[in-house]
Amino acid sequence: MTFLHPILAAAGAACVSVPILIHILMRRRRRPIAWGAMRFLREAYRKQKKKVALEQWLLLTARCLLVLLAALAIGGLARGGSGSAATERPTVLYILIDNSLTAAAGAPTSLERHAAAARGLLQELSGVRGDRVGVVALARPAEAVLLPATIGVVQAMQALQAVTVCDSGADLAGALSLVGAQQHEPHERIVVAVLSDWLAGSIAEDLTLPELPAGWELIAATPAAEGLRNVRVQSVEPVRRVMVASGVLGGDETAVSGTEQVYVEAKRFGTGLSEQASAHVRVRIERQGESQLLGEAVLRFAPGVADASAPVNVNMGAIGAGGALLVAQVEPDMLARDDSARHPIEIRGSLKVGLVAALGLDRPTSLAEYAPADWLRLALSPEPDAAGEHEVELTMIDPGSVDGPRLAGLDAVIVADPEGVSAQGWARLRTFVEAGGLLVVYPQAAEGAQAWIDAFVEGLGVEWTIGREPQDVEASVQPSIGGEWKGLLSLLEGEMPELAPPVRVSRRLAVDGAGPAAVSLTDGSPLVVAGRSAAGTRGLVVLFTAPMDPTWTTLPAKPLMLPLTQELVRQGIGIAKGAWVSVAGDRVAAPAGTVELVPLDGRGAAIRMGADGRTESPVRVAGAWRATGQGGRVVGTVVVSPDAHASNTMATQPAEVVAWLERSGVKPRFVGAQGDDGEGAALAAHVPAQPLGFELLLGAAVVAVMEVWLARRASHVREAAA
Amino acid sequence: MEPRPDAAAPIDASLYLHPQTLARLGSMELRARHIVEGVMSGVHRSPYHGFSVEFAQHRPYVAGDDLRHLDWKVFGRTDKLHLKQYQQETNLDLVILVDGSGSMNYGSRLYSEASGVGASASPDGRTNWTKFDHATALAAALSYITLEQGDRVGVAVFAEDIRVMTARSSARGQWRQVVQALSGRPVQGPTDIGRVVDQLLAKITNRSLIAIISDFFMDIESLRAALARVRHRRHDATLLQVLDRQELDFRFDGPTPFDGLEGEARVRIDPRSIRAAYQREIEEHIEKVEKLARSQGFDYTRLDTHDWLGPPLAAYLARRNAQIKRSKYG
Repeated sequence: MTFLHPILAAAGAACVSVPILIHILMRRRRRPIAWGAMRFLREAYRKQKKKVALEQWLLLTARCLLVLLAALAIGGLARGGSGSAATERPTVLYILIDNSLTAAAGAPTSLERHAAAARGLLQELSGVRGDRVGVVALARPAEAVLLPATIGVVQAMQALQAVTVCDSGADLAGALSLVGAQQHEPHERIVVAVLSDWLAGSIAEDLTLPELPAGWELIAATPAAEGLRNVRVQSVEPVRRVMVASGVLGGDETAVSGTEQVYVEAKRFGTGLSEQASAHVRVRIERQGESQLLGEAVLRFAPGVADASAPVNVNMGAIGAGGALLVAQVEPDMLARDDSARHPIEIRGSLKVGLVAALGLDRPTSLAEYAPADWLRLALSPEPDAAGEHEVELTMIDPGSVDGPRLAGLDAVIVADPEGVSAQGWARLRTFVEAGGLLVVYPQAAEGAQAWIDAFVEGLGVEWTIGREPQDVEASVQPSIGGEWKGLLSLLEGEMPELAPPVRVSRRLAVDGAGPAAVSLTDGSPLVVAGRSAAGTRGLVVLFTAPMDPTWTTLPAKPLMLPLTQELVRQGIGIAKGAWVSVAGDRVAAPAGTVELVPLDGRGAAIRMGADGRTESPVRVAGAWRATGQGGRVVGTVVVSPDAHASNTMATQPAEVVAWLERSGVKPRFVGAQGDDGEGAALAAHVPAQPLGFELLLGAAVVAVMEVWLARRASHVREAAA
Repeated sequence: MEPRPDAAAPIDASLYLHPQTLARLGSMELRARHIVEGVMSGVHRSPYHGFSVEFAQHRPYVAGDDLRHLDWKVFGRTDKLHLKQYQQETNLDLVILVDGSGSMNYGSRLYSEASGVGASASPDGRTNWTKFDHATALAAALSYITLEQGDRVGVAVFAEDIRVMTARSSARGQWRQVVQALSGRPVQGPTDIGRVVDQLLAKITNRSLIAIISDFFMDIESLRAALARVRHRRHDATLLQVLDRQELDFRFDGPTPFDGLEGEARVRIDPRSIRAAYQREIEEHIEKVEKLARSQGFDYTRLDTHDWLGPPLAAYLARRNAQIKRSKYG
């Protein structure tokens, strides 16, 4: 049982005392009468005492009951609900509405349906009873749209209207933590309503949930009966992350041209996984508000396989240097928000590389005079391009002069003479690396112990163990590329069997703790290892175990030298810089020096960056932003992709949902039915309130008749009239 | 305002005998005269002829009889000697017992309710016309009539015992004694009719008419015993039961506390709820009193303090005539 207007009911119930007070006052206000015929009065009273008392009590009871019934009718006594005692208490309703990625699916969307259901729940609340409502959006991280709970239903309606679909997954654990931290009165009834279709994308991968306080109620929308067919473009990545312009667009502008390869990966979810399917994908480039189609391909999903990928040959045409977005998009399906993927690319006129070496004043005239730095210089800038410019701009740096100004603006630094680099120099190189730079270090081409190693390891913070003494070996280069950083040389993979075997290595440094080498020798020892600095998340450190010196290796004179050095620098720079791609729901990381992120499409507000290199608040929607530094200087491009897990539109069995929700310590109760037009009404019916006004008034009328009859009987009106 | 009676206009006896009119009259004497004149205006004045020596019967002469009583006319017609025998003149002795117990102090009518003229309160400050007022007015009227006719009258006011009593007398000063005896107030105590009757019978020797004016809110068995003793002593009696109309109707609204006039504990009650039962109780008692009076051969008259005093006085006069006839011829 519940009251629609509990305060009125309470006030009415208090009025029950009125007949009693009148009864008492009527007894007291009369002045006594001096009476002579007391013997008859006493005798009549003695005989009638029990009967009169009974009549008086019945009359008083009838009057009180009459007032009580009227009070209950006015108070809106209603039958039903999840418990009469429970529904008479003020209810605090927390609406946890799923606005994660899958909430955008369907027409109307899942979010729209659940918002309607939420409005139905709001209509069940009673402001008079003191009900309150709070709204939490589930998209990761869960957002308190309306907390603490308020009595303002209109405010809650507005809050629900303000909830929009995000591209992150559902964060039910975070939402329950938010509501669990709220303060409540002991007598309040707490109901948590989770409105979701419970598609797999809305189920947390780790299935963790915080425990709810005892006595709370948990109601949930009934899980969707069927999943939705959905294809998600997982990624689009160019073969080269940093493209170097090789042509002239006119004037001073340079441009890339020709055909490049872009890899597109996609995944399908929901129904029809067992069938063969295909998706048409278009790749285009977006920059400065313009979109240019680059190429198309068909992604083919084999029966029973969810993933598909395809290289797309894109005609780069003539694209000027600068930042751009590579976008791959499939045909729109039930969930359109994950039908495209973006990837920032950078088109450079040239790569700026610093070579740290102690070069003599005279250029070598014969191979015997070539120092390792000379070999590297030749490998990096073999000859000018058609425009007479080098794709790699090489800057010579004296080992003793490694400082900030010299490193500024460089994409990569190659240390050929590490002996001359001071400890401060290594520290500056670490700063350079952690800002997204590539550092390639070769051993000192000298006899005896390598004294620079301790300063290098300490300065860069790498956890490698490098032997100081060179070791003589008789080995050649392995034709395979491996390890965590195989992407450095992946483009060489097809040519390595031909290029690697001729390269002999007769001396090298022993390196342990660097993991699988990118390039190894036939004796199993590494020739090229790579890794991050100690605390770095960007930047790359590459170490050769042998200098480009003929006394150590024949590599400088072999055909592998040129492609190996070029690929190492070109891909290494791309890897070191990183792609600045984040997942929706995270605090987005941006290049160093970024002050704020400005939407590339010009829609929406700029996002402020925090002190830790990430946005101050999480970014819940996918998109691309221009990272700008002080004074509006463009630092780079940042892309936020939809959460890969959140795209899963597979249906979840109700039992699985129950099992998951029960981890909160509360057994959930499903309400509403999918596909039902009245889902909101069905949800609202969890507290079905059937007013009893008519029954109560009827009862009051019956009691009123009884009261009149009793009053006439008690006052003997009939006898007096007779 | 009620018009004053005009000497030329026909006299309405009820106007003179109505309690409200009586209430306007300050003195007991004036009140009694009013009552009596009101009664006499509607009846024949023959009772004022008085009672002298009257012929009763003849009886045969026997030797030694006084020859002065021979009826010579009978001797001349029948040649037989008969003596004239005369009825000795008998004075009526009226003893009025007025109940002065606490219950007689009840009255629901205002002292000046009807006319609004004259005093609105009694000399002792009461604003209501009580049963005792009604009883004393009646007693005074009866005494006045009796004295006017040359009969002897005595008055006693009683409660648990006789509080005031005047000896029976027909002297002219008796009226003052009567008025003085009736000028008291009721006491709070109850009535002990047995004791009162015993005290009374001890003081009167010759046959008398005893008029008991009371509400008779007393034990029936005690009353029965008392009346039986009166009857045994060959006295005649008339019971004049004075009741207030409210005591019969019992019309009160709402819960009301009632305090006993004879010291009974307070009763808080809703009168509407027990009206019927109360009325049954009091009617039953009144009926018992009347039956008891009738069973003893006594007269019984019920008086309502809201009514006029004509009927009881007329009844008294009729009763007196009947008694005189019985004493002359019976």
